[in-house]
Amino acid sequence: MSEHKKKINFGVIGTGARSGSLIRTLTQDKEKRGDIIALCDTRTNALEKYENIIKNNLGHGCKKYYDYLELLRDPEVDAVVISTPDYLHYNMAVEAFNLKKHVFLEKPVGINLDQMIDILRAAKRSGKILEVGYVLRYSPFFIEIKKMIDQGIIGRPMFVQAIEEYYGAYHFNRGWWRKKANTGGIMIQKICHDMDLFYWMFGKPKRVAAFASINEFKPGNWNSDAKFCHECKNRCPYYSTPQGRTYSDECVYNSDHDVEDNAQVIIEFENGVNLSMGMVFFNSLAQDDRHWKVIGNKGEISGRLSEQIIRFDPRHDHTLKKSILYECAATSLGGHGGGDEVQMIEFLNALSEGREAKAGLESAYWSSILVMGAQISADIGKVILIDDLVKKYPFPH
Amino acid sequence: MPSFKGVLKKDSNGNLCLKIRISPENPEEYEIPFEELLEEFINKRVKIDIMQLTSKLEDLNE
Repeated sequence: MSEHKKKINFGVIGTGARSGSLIRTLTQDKEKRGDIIALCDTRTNALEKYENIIKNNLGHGCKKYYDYLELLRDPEVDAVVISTPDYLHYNMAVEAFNLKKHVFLEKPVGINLDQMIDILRAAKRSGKILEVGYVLRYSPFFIEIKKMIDQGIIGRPMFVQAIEEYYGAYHFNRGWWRKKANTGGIMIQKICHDMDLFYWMFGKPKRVAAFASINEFKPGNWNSDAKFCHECKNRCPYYSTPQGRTYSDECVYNSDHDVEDNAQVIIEFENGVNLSMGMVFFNSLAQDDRHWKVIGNKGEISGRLSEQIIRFDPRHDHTLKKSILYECAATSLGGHGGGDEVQMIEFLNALSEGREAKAGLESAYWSSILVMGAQISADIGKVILIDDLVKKYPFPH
Repeated sequence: MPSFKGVLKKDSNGNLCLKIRISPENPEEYEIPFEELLEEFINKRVKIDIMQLTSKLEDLNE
């Protein structure tokens, strides 16, 4: 049996909430192509929790490691899922490829461009398969938008507006996420998903400019001096306990976080598309969603990810009656617009067929270039020419 | 703000109803009379938009 046909033994590094979704999908694959034989975390209770899930779904236990290098050196492990804090991705991914493992790497690829490109170089050298956790590619909403663009439904796309409204950000301004030194900043943490979508749909970018700031979540914008929620006598709507959605309860207003709470990015593409993307954490809960609009020379499409409905409006309809609502999928989908349940299956498909994954090297490279271009622009206040970044960090061949 | 998506029908009494899922967890569909769907808005000024849904991409090409 060829390497690409046998059952694939997985090791999972980092058993937090994100990997839970990936583990469940792996254990529920109808074709039983993957087996989880090892877990790694520094937390015993997390390891035990997920070993129980594996026992229930796969009928066996698994090896438990506290040191990721020991898991990577396990010769029985064929592929790893890396689902650890962002600042740990670099060392783990490079070592995984050096030790000839296939890698499912949760986003972001790394927290700066040196790390991102190094990881891709390691992937290329190893000849192993990389899939980055760009899960939105697998949501029916974005798959259908891509189809509409490719099939010319709106003609030549020219103008795009996208916005992600993410109420309160919950963990993004708490715990380790709250410091740019651990994450690279809001672009890398959140907008990397969208950068991957933009390259996938609109091709090679030419220039990028961005602004990012802390506008709302800073001292003085809530009537409390408490640094942590458990100390606060005047709870705000973002009050949290460590047992809730967050690992820790730093005050979103008063803690020492330096990750931005809003950003605007403008991208010009080689094919003439002009795109703007906004990211905001202090939105209305009722608008919590990704909202997209794409305008072409034949019409425009727009919609919200959560609704899984795309509205098409023809450009020159003087009756105003030819607009159509297109249903992508039932609304009761899993996380990330239904993408969570599909991406791991696609990784298994890529491993079984011995081909590059859909969110593989090319996707990882261009999303890294774009997202870092945006972050650099926001940090230094200049428009970034993509060719300058590409010359300094060429695609690994 | 409620939003409903389903098949517009007339029940056995000839009343307009919408055949919808009543919760994401329950895949069963039920015919809910409009009176019941819109009860909280009675005597209030409202804006109602309605559009036909399609799941065929070719409908957008016509």
